[in-house]
Amino acid sequence: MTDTAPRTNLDKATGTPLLQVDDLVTHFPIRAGLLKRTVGWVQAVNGVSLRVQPNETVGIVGESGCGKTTLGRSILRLIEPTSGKVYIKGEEVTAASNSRLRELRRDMQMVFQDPYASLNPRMPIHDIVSEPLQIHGTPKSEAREKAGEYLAAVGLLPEHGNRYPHEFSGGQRQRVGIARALTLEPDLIVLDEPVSALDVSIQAQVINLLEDLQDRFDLTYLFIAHDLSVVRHISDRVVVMYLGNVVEIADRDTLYDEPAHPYTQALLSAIPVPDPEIEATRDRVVLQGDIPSPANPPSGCRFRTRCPIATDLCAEEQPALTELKPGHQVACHFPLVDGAVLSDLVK
Amino acid sequence: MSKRLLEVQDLTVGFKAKKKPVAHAVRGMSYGVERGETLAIVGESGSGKSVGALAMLGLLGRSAEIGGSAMFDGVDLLTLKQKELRTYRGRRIAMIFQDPMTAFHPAFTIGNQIAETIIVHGLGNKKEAMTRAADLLEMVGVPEPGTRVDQYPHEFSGGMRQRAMVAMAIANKPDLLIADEPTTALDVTIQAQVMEVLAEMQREVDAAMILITHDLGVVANVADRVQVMYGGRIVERSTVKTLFQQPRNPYTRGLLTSLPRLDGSREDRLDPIKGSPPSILAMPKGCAFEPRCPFATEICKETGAELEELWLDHESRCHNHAAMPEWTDVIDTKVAT
Repeated sequence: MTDTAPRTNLDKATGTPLLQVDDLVTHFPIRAGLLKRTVGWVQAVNGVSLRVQPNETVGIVGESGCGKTTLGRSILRLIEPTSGKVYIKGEEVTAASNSRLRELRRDMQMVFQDPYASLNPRMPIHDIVSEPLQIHGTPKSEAREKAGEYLAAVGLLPEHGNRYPHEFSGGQRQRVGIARALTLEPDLIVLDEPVSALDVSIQAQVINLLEDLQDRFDLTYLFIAHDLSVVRHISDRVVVMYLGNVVEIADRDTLYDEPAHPYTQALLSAIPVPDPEIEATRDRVVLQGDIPSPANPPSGCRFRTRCPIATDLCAEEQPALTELKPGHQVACHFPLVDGAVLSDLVK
Repeated sequence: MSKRLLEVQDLTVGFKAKKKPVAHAVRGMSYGVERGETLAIVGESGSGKSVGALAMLGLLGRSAEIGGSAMFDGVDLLTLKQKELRTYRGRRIAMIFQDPMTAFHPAFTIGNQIAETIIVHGLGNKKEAMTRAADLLEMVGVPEPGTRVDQYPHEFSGGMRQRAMVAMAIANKPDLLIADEPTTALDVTIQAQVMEVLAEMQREVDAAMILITHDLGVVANVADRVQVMYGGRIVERSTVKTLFQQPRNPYTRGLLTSLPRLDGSREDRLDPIKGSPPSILAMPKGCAFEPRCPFATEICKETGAELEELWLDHESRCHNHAAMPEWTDVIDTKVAT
């Protein structure tokens, strides 16, 4: 294998991005009372900007309520964003008419988290997989033939096409979901927790499959997950989110080797490593408290209520995402640089 | 050898449906738990890891056919009537369930539900029990326990609810805690908090713990011994250190190579187990893992292997232990490629 070289390289970083997200905001109204007046807003995504280069895999990680799923859906306009702009291959998705949006969706598809809920139980697999093609005007027989090809590409047999979703295991269903996303030959696939519902042995199969498909079909992935080990494995660059904000963006090695945001460090140290010797010697920082509600986020830096090194400044002013070095951005007033480790500072 | 707190012998659990053969979820499981130790039971969905524990506590309902014995401090739990079992559940054996959203009754306050376990076992009157409930909440790190004790489950976050569940479990100072995927529903930073509290409380009341989980990371962190289950049987069992450093069963090895690791060499390709786990309605005739096993031979199709003692405190169930490469070589070649 020669693919040991990192897939991102510098000319990719300077080329036209396949996906560009500028200051995307998605707030959901909280309605109450008889007249359903809006009494507040859930600030699910609160000003996210990112660029994704062709053929790249960008991982988006964070805990529940951080807005990662809403971000993915807002990019595809499955949820209408409140403000901000999204461009795919230079064209503004957020300004597209409904009919144009449908055409644009040819270039961007989604794989959903729950392989049990995302497939219609009353449709046979070849209908599920060929439906996107039929919607986009391919005749049924041709669409089915193509569906067969993509079923083969994800490691299912053509005769599986006649079966229904309940006849498949979780891992196989997720393969069906992936085949469905592939049929329109999109450039970008948003994968929303594609493996978190699967057992570990099956999870690894699906991850390997996603990697193979990326090489074969020249795909760009936005990989949304809460599992940092999986994200590390598959991503070129990683975006860490907390309560609707991006707190850190870096290429994979930088993010995992020199995390600069206290939240990223705490998140990494919270993950148990399957090796008792490493576990015995690790310095862990256990974050105190719960994640605040996105309907009522803290003032200033949203992480400050749980941050062990927060000061008064953090309560007053929200830190902007600033560049530490090319490609490594962090939103913190006191980024942990030059090998600073949160667990040492806490002691 | 000192007498063990719990000694399970040849436990089997089958489920009977109309006009169908009994489907066996647990197919002969023998193990023991010493006082104060933490035993982890690891397996994927359908491996029988939870069902075995539920069966011991009489929580499976009538469709379950249970065999074998489970001696807890000299008494076979499996022969007890529900009424007698009730004197054990929540008193000497306490359970922590996976889903803190559904394990509490939504219409009673958290304090009420913790107090109930104390009152039911006659360990205090209402007033004492409520005071104790507040103390327990404080012990597990619920802020403002005085107010929280009168709140309902929906007013608690997932992490707080799981802390309350731990508080309820240790309320009567049990000898044995059974934690069934205690942190699976939680975010990682919250998971770390809850595991810390759980371990602390276990020490506090000096209880043994059976930790049922699919997460090998959690196991490495807290368990003393581990047993890995597949297809209703224990396939490998050892101390935590040995199991992670010298796994001998092909399934355990497959699990470990399937895992993307935070500290692993990043360009590694994952080495998954092929295929998917067998259904309990259609178990292979021989070894349950044979259809997915890279080391399978003819004999594996015919008969399943017995647990074989490979070394002190290390057992594995496989016909082909000798044919497997050294684990260190498996890891090294992975890093080298």
